[in-house]
Amino acid sequence: MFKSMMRATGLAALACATILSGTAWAEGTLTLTLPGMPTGYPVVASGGLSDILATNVISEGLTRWKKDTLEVEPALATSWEANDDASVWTFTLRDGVKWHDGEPFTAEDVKFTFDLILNKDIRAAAAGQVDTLSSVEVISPNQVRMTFSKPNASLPLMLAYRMPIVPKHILEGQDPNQPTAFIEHPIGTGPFKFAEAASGQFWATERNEEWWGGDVSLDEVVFRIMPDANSAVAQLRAGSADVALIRPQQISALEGGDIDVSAVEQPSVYYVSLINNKPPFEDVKVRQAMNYAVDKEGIIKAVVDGYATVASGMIAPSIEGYTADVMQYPYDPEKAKALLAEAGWTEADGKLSKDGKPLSVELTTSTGVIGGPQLAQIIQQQLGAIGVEATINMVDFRDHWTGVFDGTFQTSVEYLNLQPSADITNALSCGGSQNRFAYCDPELDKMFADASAIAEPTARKAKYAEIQKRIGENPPGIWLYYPKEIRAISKRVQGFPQNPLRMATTHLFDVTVQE
Amino acid sequence: MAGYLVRRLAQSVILFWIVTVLTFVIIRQAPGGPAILANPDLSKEQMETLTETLGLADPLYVQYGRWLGGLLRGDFGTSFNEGVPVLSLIAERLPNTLMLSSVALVIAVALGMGLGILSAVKRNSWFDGLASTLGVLNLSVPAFWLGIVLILLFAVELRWLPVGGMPRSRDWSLIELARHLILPSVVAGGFLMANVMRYTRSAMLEVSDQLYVTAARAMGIRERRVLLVYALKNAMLPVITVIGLGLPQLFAGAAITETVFAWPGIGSLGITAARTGDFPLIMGITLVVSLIVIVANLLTDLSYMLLDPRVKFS
Repeated sequence: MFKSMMRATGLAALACATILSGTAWAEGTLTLTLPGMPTGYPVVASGGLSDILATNVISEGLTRWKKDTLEVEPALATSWEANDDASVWTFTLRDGVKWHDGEPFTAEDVKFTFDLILNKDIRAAAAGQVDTLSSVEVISPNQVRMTFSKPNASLPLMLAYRMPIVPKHILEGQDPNQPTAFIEHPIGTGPFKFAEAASGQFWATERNEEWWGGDVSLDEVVFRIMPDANSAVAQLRAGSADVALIRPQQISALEGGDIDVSAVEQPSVYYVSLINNKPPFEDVKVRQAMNYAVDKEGIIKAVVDGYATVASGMIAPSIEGYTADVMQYPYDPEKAKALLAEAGWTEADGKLSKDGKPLSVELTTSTGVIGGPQLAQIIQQQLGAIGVEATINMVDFRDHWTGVFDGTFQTSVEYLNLQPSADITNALSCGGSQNRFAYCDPELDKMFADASAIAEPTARKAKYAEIQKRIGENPPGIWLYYPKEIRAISKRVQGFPQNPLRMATTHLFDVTVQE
Repeated sequence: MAGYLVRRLAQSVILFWIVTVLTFVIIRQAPGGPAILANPDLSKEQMETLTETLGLADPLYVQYGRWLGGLLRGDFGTSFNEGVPVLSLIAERLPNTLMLSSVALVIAVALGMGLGILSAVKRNSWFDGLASTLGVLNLSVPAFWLGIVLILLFAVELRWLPVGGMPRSRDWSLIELARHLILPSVVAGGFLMANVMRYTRSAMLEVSDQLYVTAARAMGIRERRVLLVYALKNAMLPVITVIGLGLPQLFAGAAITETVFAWPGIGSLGITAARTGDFPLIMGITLVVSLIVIVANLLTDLSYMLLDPRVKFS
């Protein structure tokens, strides 16, 4: 009995051995891991990283990023021109571009796409980026005119960000919020075309032989779905994936292998919004004091293992027009106390108060902000150390985002993916549609308006430098850090773009993978 | 018998309904909310439009009524995250889970019973000790840890097996499929295997003291036949119970196993849905899984009757 079982086991082992000699993925394949399935419909895609990475591979906008910097270059538009105050833009479209199904790309597609983005009934991801766009007209099959209610000098930059053109001939007649047929087989004009997807497994594209940009080196770009982060690292080590975003704790698992690990600063910012019309934050001295009271370097070490740079405002260093020449707030609790004393807050028994009321700050955050709860705890301690009575308010993330605009909270610990241009009018002008600070500085609003009407780049940059200086002295909140993404890339991969991943996947056409 | 079946079915339907209500209420009370709304890039108006289009603006009972109404028409709703019908997602993923669970079940039962019988026969030998130790280890080691260790050993270091996932259609072959199935099915079935082994062993020990076994031996029937026919058949009842109870566990465990091995089944789909607050998808998956569990329990109960004619249902 026992012997016969052992014999059976031996046979089974032999069978296993035959099975074990396996196949690898095809050559010329770049495999990226994603935590979840992407959606290939860019208009309403959630804006989550998976969606952006995947749509960038198959779709194209009128403009696109350069390979390694956040500057723009022509894509579906070959050239553009603005009127004097940059409120009317004319784009000339590239000739001979074809959709992946062979239909020609025309100005009608461009109009169709922007009409979708502007349609209030559609939850277009990019609606906030072009909210001053009043009309899009087709002038000729290869020319479009966009008219804005206000000057918009940074339009070409904005067009490279999450505004791929979608095919009118396919989407017309489908539910624009949920075009199931399109999501199952997305069509673009990009260097790769959608090949096949299997829920929870992969989302695969293959080279577009007809691409207007010429030869595409890779045979295919495949996104493999790896819900578990440790398994994604195992994929890299086993050589079955080439690119993954990883966490700091995972770096050591990849050391000494065939993997390059690098950190790239992202155009995102973590900060504490101090709602400017709520006491005690109407007073700029209090807001400045809060900035001095928080140890940003310490926070970066504690929360992201050092993978971030201290932030100085809402324009990230990688964005054109950024200046470092603004007021800095190094960790200085004494200075914070001095500023609060100037503002009339007196200290007794280590507690600050004014007119008998304690200086209390309620830090609101949610699990929708990665690291948010941890940030709130550290900031609570640091504010406590200078005598502020700080408490934490954890909320549901839906309540978090709506509450920020409703003025429900006194502060909010949060992050934002920054727009790629220095034009932050929406975010910081009085009553701006994305103003999360109830920030209002009429003088600054004039400067925003001036800057967005300057078409000449150097003069515009100078204006934005002035703007950043002014905001630096009058901070709307506590700037914490610009996070870095940690990317692990197989050494077999050559020529991977230096841009953050959310911008990099537009430029995979000259990447190569060596066997 | 027929009356019993009707009653059990009626109970199942009520149980099923309770499950939907509970799940519906619990997922909406859970902290967080749909990840699709956790997007700081959305403006307040967009947030409101989105809440409206997702049907989240209405009171809970209205939302439940709408969901139940849809269900009765065979409409499970549309996934928040992927924008495709829940039913088509489940239909795409469920066969993979059934495949993984069946293979895991076969491995668990075959190995578990085999080792259990051997342990009983060679009671207190080194083999018995080793098998018991492995069994206890298997019961106490968490699946996600075991999964990662096996991946590191067999996929990363030795490179014998793939890290995870399923073969793509163009690479598809039975051998490729088997390579992808080995690690996840061993991990998924490990817990059940250990349980089956322990129960088989103790049940075999128990029945081997029974008079009919002694009588069979006294009649000169070959030992193998005594064990596999006289003893085993009577030892099966507790083992079947363990297997029946293990089926839901196999499904629940699949959620972890599938996530670690990126196996595209309903378990990893469920984990993603839960993590991202994809309400319609969570409801759909709960529904399908509870249906499977309820049916599995019913079948287990019915199988007693086949094994033991003394069991009567009324």
